[in-house]
Amino acid sequence: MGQLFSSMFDKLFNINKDFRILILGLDGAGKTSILYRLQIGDIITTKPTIGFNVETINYKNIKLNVWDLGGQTSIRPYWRCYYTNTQGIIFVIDSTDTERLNIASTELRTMLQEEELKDACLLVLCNKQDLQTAQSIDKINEALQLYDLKDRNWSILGCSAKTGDGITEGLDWLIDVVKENNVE
Amino acid sequence: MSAKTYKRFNDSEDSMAVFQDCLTTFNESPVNPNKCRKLLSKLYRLIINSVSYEPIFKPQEATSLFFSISKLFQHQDNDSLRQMVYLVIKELSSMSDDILMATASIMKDIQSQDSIIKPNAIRSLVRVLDSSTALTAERLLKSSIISSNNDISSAALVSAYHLLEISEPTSKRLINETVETIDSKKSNGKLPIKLPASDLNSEEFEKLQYYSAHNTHMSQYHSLALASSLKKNDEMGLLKLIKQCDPTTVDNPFARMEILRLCHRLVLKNSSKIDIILPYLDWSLNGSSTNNFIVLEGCKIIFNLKLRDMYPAAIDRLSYLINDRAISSKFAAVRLVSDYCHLLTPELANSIAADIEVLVNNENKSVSSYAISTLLKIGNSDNIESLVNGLKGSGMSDDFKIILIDSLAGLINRFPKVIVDFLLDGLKSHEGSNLLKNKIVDCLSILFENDSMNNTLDETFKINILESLCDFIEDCEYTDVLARVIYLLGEYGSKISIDSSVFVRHIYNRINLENSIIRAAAVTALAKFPNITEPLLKNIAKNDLDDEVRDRAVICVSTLNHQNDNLIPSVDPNNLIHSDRYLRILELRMNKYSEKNDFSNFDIPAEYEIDIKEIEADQDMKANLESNHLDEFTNEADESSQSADDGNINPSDSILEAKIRHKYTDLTESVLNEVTKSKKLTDSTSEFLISCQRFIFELNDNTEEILAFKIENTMDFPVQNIKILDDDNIIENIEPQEKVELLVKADNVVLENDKYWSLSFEVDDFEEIFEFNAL
Repeated sequence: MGQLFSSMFDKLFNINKDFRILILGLDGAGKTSILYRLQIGDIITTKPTIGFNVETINYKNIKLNVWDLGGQTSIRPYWRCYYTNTQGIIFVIDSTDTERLNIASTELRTMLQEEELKDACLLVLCNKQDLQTAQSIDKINEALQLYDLKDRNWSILGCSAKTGDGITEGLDWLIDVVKENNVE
Repeated sequence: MSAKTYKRFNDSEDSMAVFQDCLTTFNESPVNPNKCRKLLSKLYRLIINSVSYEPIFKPQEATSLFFSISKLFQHQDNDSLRQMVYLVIKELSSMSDDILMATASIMKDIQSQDSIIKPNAIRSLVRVLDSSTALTAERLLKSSIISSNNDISSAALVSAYHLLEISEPTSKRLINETVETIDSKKSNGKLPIKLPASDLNSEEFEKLQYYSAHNTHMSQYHSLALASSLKKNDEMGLLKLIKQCDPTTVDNPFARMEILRLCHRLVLKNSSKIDIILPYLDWSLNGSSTNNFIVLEGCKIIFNLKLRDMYPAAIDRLSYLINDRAISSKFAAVRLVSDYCHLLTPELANSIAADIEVLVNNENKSVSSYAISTLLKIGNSDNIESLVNGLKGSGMSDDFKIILIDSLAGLINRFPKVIVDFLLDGLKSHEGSNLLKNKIVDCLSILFENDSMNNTLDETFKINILESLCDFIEDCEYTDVLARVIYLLGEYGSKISIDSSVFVRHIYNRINLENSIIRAAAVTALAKFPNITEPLLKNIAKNDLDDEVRDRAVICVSTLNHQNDNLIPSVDPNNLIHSDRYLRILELRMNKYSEKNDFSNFDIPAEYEIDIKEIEADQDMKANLESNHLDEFTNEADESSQSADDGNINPSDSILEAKIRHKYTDLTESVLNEVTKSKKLTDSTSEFLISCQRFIFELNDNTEEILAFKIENTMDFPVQNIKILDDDNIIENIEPQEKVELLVKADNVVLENDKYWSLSFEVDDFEEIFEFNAL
């Protein structure tokens, strides 16, 4: 019954349209793995993405166009070409890569300053939490200083594309926020 | 589409409208596939119809177009949209800088199961790769090449071929798969899909039927072409390849053609391999099922390799093709005869001429022009006059006129009147390229040269020609042609016995009207008429604005004053033909003169006769050197010239000598008696360039001979364990393009003429043997 109401509610507010989600982050963070964990629910072998992968994911009656853009230094400048009409950003951090955490932080800040992304909500996924050497969420949050963000819906979660932990939780949060944003 | 709308479509304004449309439509979400497809085809047409050399979109525009198109990848299930996307990406790849962003998406499509977009994706992939990303495509290309689907396989093979330019190493890694496809397609030519009986009505089965009916085996041609270009420096590999693909059993006609050409190239490189091509030539001429173009190729190879025994058969097939219904066959056959008719015996030429005569009145201008040209070259036709007259006003293109004039050049001395008529028409006509006019002047020079030796033409005819030339120079836009005609007028006009002032007047007019090059030519021409032109030349020598013109005039005037004919050597006409040589001799002599630092007298006639012998000897040596250059490594050519000059042992020889003494300690006491010039044992295109030098030592009346081989590996991979002849001498490893020396004692080797020596080496654990000519 609740299901029925919720879908009627969706139709009523005309939010049953496509949402556009970007997965960004440094190279080797696990963006492509997360994309295919979302799509086919399993881990696949990946190689560095030269360019982008795009998949349509139907999740809880919502159609998501998820773009996974390559994270290599040479490809990062092209991220901005895909910012338009984006409702949500998943920024993936390699929790074991402490050395490049500050680079990731800079990239994240630069991206958030873009005018086209000012209404997009941000989900930071700290990937590879299944590994021993992974940093805790708090430590990463400290480095990224997400508490300073104003006028933006954001969340930080730990996850593992390998085991699948935390992925659905993250997506659930993102979709809720995106829906909310678009109703208002 | 009417001409009107077509024009409007090409407007740049319209291209910007399409551009804007594309940007907005492609960025919409969700994507409207039909609308996008229509827009993409508009865009595609814009790009491929743009006639200018400049790309239709600026880099920035192309880049933003590309990014907007890349957003269409999010639409997954529409093959025709994706195909359009790929077509446009291929075109944009040359204009946009950031095309590599599409790489991952394209690769994903290649890995998909969809056989419709796969070929398109493969063909686009190679456009977005660069040398750094090419390696990532290797695995994909490998699996696509061995695909059972011909379209996919072809696309991958062609892409690998294009990849040669981007990243040769990547393409080279595909060699095994490539060779495999030639095989597999031959053995089970049809698609190797087995279907259960219950599937007979399925869509799959229909597809299979379609494929087997329409299978052109094009991938055979593609794999063969790729394999042969990958192995182009590897003669053994090519021979293997040819053995593998017998053209008589290969399905694809293009592949058959390619094998013939491959054999041809091999035989041209190495005439001892003639055996590989002979059976195929027989087959290409006699095979009833083969295509006309294979027959043509066979004939061409026969003529090119000068296989005289096969001429009659080739001519027979050509005459059959000339009578073929298809105009293209007629054209190709007659062109082939035209190119090679100088090789034919008179009987053969006559037999084919009868067939060609029919084509003279063919309504296709190209065929008839070639027919006429061929008949003229064969040149025993009784109706040359009517042939040439028939050419007038036939509105041929310049290219054909040039072909015709080439054949007329050989006939002009036999039929001067009618041909000169034709030539002068061509010269005076306002149309015609510089090349055409030059050819005509060539032809006229031949006529005049011949006449000055044999005096065959009558005076009025010559005057007529020269007067026509006078008219021509009044109105000619090509400087070089004009200068040459002025030379003709001066040279031959002065020899006319009647009043030659008319020529002087025309030439002098040029002095007032034309540029300095023509004025200089005119001065020289005027000097041929000393009685009339002396005051004119004096005037020019003072007043002309150009140095060269004044210099020439001064020289002319001063020779006139000396009244001494010997001042300018009378060059006999035979020498004039070789005037290039004359100039070189003059240059050499002047160099020597200036080297002497004695600037007293430069007297041409006095030294002319003595010098010419000396210089000819000098030139012979130079010519030898030049041919050495072609054959041998440059530095070795230099070495041999040095040793020829002074007879001393040159430095690199003494280094080698030291090496030999180091290796063979028993020679320490001996005396080096003789070092031969290094001799080349392989031709310059083979995989290993090998040259050999003999060092002859003498010790206590015993002579000991050491052979020093210089080996250069021209292949692109290192080679291990090189041995020549015997097992004692091994070079461990030789890198690509590296040169090494190998010393062998001659008593281990039987020196025989015409014997093949062998060089064996290992590549990746395979041992190969390579034979080359003995000394």
